[in-house]
Amino acid sequence: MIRISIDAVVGLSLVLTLYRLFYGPSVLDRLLGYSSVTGKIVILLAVEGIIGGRPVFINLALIYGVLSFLGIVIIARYIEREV
Amino acid sequence: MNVFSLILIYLGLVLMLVGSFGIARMPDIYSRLQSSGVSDTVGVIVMLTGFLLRNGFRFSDSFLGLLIIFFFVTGPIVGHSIAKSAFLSKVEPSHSGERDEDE
Repeated sequence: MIRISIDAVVGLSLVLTLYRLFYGPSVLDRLLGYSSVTGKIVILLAVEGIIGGRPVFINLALIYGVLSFLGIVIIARYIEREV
Repeated sequence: MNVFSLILIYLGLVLMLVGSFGIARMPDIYSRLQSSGVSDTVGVIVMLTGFLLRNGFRFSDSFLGLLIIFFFVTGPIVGHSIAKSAFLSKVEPSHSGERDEDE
């Protein structure tokens, strides 16, 4: 029951964030959308890890979070230096 | 223990929804960043603590604590780096909703 409510609400907020990711006038809005999608994906992985009964997914969420955090910061620094 | 984790999980859900609604609706990048901090950092951390407390503390959930610490540290760093690159590439904050004195 709780799994369905989490998936529904996270899915709805994912739609809003994907709107910003696709529409975003500037590159930085897309970067912001990407970082927000990362947070949602980590939550979905953690839900699968805890409620789905597979603890390995929590490690996946951690690795995914670390790698995408690196990507975001590197892209942000690239955009800053380009001007 | 279970009720408390349910409260935390639903609170995280509400925060996430409000934050992503703010990301879609805010006028310019700076205010979107502020609302993404709500949904990304606080919402995720509250939900993860809700998951942590769900069925007591098991060893397999210890990574959740690491995840919480990770998001606690990197959430602000992401927001800061995006705001800095927006500021350095001279993105003007939008003036919608501003009212000058003599209006």
